[in-house]
Amino acid sequence: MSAGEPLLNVTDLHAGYGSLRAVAGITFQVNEGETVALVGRNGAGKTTSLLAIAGLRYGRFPGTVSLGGKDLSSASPRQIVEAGLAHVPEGHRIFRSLSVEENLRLGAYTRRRSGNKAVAAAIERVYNLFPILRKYSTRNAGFLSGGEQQMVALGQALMADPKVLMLDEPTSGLAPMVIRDIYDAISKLRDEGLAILIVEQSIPRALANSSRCYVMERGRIVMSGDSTALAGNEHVFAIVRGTEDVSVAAEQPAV
Amino acid sequence: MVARLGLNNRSSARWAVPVALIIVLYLLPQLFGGGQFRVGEYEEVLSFLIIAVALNIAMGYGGQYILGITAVFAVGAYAAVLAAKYHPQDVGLVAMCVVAAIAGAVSGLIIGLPALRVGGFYLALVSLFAAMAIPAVATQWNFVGADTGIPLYAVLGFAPKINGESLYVIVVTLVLLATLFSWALVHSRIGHRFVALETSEQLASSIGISAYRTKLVAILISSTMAGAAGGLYVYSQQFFAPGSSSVNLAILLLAGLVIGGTGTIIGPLIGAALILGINQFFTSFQNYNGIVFGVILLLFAVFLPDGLMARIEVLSERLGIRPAPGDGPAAARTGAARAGAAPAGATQAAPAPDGGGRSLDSRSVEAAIAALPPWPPIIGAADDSPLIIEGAGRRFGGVTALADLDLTVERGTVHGLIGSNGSGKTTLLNLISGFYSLDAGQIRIGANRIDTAPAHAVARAGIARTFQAPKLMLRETAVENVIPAVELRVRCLGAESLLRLPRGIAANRRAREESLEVLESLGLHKILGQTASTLPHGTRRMVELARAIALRPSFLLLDEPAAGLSHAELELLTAVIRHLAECGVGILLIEHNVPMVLSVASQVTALHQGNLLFRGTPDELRADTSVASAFLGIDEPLEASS
Amino acid sequence: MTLFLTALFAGLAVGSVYGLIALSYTVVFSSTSIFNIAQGDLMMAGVLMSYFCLDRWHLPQIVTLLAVIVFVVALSLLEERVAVRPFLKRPGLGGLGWFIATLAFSLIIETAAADIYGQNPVAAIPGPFSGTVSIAGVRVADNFILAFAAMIVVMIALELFYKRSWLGTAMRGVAEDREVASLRGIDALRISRLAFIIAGLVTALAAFVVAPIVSANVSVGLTYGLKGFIALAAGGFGSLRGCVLGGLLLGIGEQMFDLYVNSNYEILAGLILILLILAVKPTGIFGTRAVREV
Repeated sequence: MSAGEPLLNVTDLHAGYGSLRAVAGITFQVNEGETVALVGRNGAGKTTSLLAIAGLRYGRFPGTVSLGGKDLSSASPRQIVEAGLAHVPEGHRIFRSLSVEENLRLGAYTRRRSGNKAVAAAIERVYNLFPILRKYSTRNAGFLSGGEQQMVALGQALMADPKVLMLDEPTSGLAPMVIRDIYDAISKLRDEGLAILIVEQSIPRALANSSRCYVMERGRIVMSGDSTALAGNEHVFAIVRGTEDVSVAAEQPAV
Repeated sequence: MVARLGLNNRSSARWAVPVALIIVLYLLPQLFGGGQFRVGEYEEVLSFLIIAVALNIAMGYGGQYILGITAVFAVGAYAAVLAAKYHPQDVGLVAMCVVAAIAGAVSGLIIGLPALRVGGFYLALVSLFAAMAIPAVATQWNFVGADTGIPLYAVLGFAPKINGESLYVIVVTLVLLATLFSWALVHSRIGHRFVALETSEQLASSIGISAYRTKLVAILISSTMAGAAGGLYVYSQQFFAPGSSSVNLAILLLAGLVIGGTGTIIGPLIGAALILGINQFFTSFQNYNGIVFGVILLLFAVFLPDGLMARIEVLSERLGIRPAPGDGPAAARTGAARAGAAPAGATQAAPAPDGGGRSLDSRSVEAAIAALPPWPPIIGAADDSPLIIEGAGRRFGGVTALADLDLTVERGTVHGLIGSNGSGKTTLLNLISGFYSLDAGQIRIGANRIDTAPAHAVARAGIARTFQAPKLMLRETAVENVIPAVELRVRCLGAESLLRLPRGIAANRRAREESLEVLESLGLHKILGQTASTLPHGTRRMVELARAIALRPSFLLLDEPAAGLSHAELELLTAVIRHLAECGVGILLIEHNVPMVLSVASQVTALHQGNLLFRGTPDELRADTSVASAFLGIDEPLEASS
Repeated sequence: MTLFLTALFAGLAVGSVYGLIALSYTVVFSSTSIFNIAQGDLMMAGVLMSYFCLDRWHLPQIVTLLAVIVFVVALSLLEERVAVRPFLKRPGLGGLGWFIATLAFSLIIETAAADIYGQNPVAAIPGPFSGTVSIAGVRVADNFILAFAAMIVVMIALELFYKRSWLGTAMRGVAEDREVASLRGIDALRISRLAFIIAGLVTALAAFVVAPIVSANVSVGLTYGLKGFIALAAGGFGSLRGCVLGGLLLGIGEQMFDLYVNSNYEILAGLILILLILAVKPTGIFGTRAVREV
C-alpha cells in the first residue's frame, strides 16, 4: 500500500434498517496513524455508520469499505476483525457475566491460535494501559463502574491487535476524571501509531483530540476539514446543537 | 373519512366468501353424505373448532401460548359426562355446557396461573404437560371409565332431546356464535387490552393496563370456552374417553392456527378446519400424517408466520378486491414482508421512509396550533399536589444510574431535563413509570407514594408518558392505538363493552370519538385509519403523543419527543407542550434539543452521571457556564448569539 | 426400607435421564435463548437407533454407541439448519415462531420413528452391563449406575468446557450479547451450530445409557421432552447443577409418588412439582437468570 493511500477508505456508504435509510451516502478516509473525529446530532447516523463499517448491516445497501486496500464491503464482522478493524460500540457494552480477564481473552478470540503466551502478553499491555483493571481481573465485569466497564470494552477491542480502532462515544456519561484517563490512553495509542476513528458528543473534545473532523447530519457528511480550522467555525456548533438547519443536498433518496 | 376508518368499507366480494362458506357448512350433510356416523364426525370436528377459536383468543390476540388447551377441554368434557352419568334425567345440552365451562375455567386457572408470572414459553410447556397428563391419569382412573371412557348411550335414563339434523344445525350455530363472540371480544375494550399487552408490557402499563389481570382474563375466557366445547362434544358424541383429547389434538389445533393466521378471526377457523378435516377424513395416510403436518407446520412457521389469511389478503389486494396499500393490514404485512421484518409483536418494524405520506405541513400546523382544544387533567385531578421525586437512587450492577436526586414537577409547568447520554434521564422516567424499582428515595404525588405501586397503577394515578422509541400497536390503525388510552377513563365493565350492552356501546363510541378528536387536533386527520406500521417515524411519535394526551393525565413524561421530527412537527410539538401546561398538566420533558427546552420550560434540571448538575430557570441556565462545560466542554453560553 | 431404597435408586436412574435432557436444553438455550422442545424426541430417536443396532443388527455395544452419536448429532444439526437458524438471524428471534418450528420438528421425528418401528410392542434393549451390585442391601442394576455416572460426568465436562476452553467462554459471551460477540470476531451462527452439536452429543449419550431403562418406546419422546423441561425449571434455568438437581428431584419424586401414593398416576408427580416450583420459586432452586418474558 502506497504512502498516500488511506488505511480505511469508505466510499458512498449507505446503511439503515429495513426501509429506513439512516445513512445516505457518506465518503471519508482515515489515514495511517491518524485520529479522525466524527460529530453530529443524535440521530444523524453516526452509530449506524460505524456499525455498518464493522459488518453489522441490517439489509443490503450500496457503498464500499476497504481497509489497507482490501475490500470489506460484504465481509462478515469476524473477517473485518481479522483484517484489523475493531469497533467499540457505545454504551460500554461488554460481557457482564464474565470476569474482566475472560472479557479480555474473548477480545483475542480471532488470535486464539497464536498461543497462550501471545494472548497473555496482550492482556498485560491492556493492564499497562488501564492499571486499574489489573485489580479486578477475576471480578465479574458487571460489578465494575461505568468508566471501568468502558476501559474493559476498549481493552477488549485492542486484544485483537487492530490497525484501525473505531470508538463510538467512548466517554459519554462518564466523570471528568475518567474521561481524562480514557483520553490519556487514547493518546498513548495514537503515539504507538494506531489509526483511530472517534465519534464524540463534545465538539471541543473531538476537535482537540483529532487531526481531522467530519460533521454528519441526517445521514450525510455536511462538513469536513482540519480540526484546528474547524475549532473556530461557529457553524459546527450550530449544526450539532440543532439551531442551524442545514439543508441537506437532497431529501432521503427513494428506497 | 368513513372510508379511511376502514370500518364498514367492505366490498360485496369480501362478504360473499364467508357467507358462502357458512351456507356450505350448514348444508354439509346434504352435500357430502349424511349418515348418522358421518354427521357425528362433522360434529366432532366442529367441537374442536370451538377450541381453535378459544386458542385464538388467548394466543392469537392475547399472546398467551396456552398450547395445552386440550387439557382444559378434556376436564370440561369429563365434568359433563360425569354430570350426565349421575343425573341423566336432569342434564341437557345447556347444563352440560355450563358444567363443562365451569370445570374448564377452574382447570385453566390452575394450569395457567402459576406459569403467568414467568411467561413466555413456560405457559406453553406447562399446559402441554397438562394436556399429556390428564388423559394419562384418566386412563387409569376407573371413576371416569379408565381406558374405555364413559359411553352415555349405556347410561339408563339418558336420552338427549336434540338429535339428528337439528343437533347438527345447533352445533354449527354454536360454532358461529363462538366465532362471533371472539370477534366481539377482540373489538371490545377487553380485546384492546389483549393487543396492547401482546405488543409490549411497558406499553400496556403506560396506559394503565394491568398485565397480570389481562393475562388472567385471556386464560379465563379461553378456558371457559374450551371447557364448554367439551360439553358440546360430549352431548353430540355421547361419549368421552382419554383418547378423545390428546397432545396430538393440541398440536393439530396449533398447526391450524399457524397455517390459518393467528392475527385474524377467520384465519384460525379455516386453518383448523382444514387440518382437522384432513386428519379426520383422509385416514388412509394417517401413518404419514404427522410427517406431512410437521413439515407443513415447519414451513409455515419459518416462511409464512402470518399464515394463509395474510397471503389471501395480499392476493385479494392484487386482484383489486381490497383497498389500496397504505390503508389496511394487508399493506402492513406486505410492507413487513418486503422489509424482512420479524413477525408478531417482538420488534417494532422499521418505519416507512419520511418522503411518503407526510401528514403535516406548515399550513396545517398553523391551523392546528390555533385550534388546540382544552385538555385539562381528568385522571389524578382530584388534588393539586405536584409530582415529587426525593432522594432517588438506582444502581445497575456497578454502574450508578442515579444518585440522590430531588426533583419536583408542579402542575401546569414544564420542567426540562437535560443531560448527556447515560446521565440518568431515561432511568428517572422508567423509575417514575414503575418499570424499575428505586434503590433509595421516594416518588410521590403529594403525599401518595407511587414508587411502591405496580407500573399500571402509575398511569392510573394520572401519569402518562411517551417512549424514546415510539411504542405503538403496529397492526392496528392510528385511531385504534389511541382508543385504549381513552378507555381507561370511560367507566364501563369489560362485559358491557364485549356484549354491546347499551352502556358498552356508548362507551365504545365515546372512546372512538374522543380518540379521533385528539388525533385530529394534532393535525393527523389524514392518517386516522392507516395502520401504524406504515406510518413514518415522526408521525408515529405524534400518534404516541396523542395517546398520552388522550389519557387526560395530570402529569406527562416525554422522553426525547423531538427526535426525528420535521420542522413542522417540532413546531406543533412545542405548541402542544405549552398548551398542555396552560391547561394544568405538569410536564417533565427530556430532550437533547436544548434550545427547544429553553423555549418552553419554566424550570430546567441538568443531570450528569446520575447527579444533579444544575437547577434553575432557563435564563439562569443560559448564563451558567458549568453546564456548557460539562456538556460541550466550552466556556461560552449555551445559545449562539444569532 | 428395601422398598424405599429400591425406589430411590430407580429414581436416581430415571432422574439421570431427565437431568441429561435438561443439560442438553441448557447447552442450546444458554447460547441461543431457544428452548428446543424436540430434545426429548431426539433422545427417543437415539434409543431407537440403539434398539436397531443391538436387537436387530446385533452390533457390539461400542459400535452402537458410535452409531447413536453420529445419528443424533446429525439430526440435531439438521434441526438447527432447518428449524432454528432462520430465527437466529432475525432481531429478537422473531417472536415465538421458533417454538412452533421446533415443535413441528419433534412431530416429524416422532411420526417417522413410529412409522419405522411399526406396530411392534415395546422391546427391551440390552444395556452395556447386565449385572447388578449390592448397595445398602439392595440390588441395583449396573445400568442404573451407568446412567447416573454419565450425567455427573457430562455435567463436570460441561462446566470445565464453559470455564476453561476458548469455545466455551465464547459460547457464554454469545449467550449474553450476540452483537458484541460478533464485533469481537466471534461467529455467532457458528457458535449456535456448535451448541446444537454438543447438545446432540449429550442427548446421544443419554439415549445410549437410558435405552436399557426405557426400552424401545416410540411414543414417549414428547413426554421426556416435557419432563426434561420440568427438571430444568425446577433446578433453575442457566445452572448446570440445577439440571442435575432438578432431574434427580423429578426422578426420585416420581418413584416416591409411585411407592407412597399411586403408581397409576405417576405423571401427576411432575405436574405437582412444576406447579409447586412456579408458585414458590419460579426461577428454580439454583435459578440464576429469570427467564426472559416474551
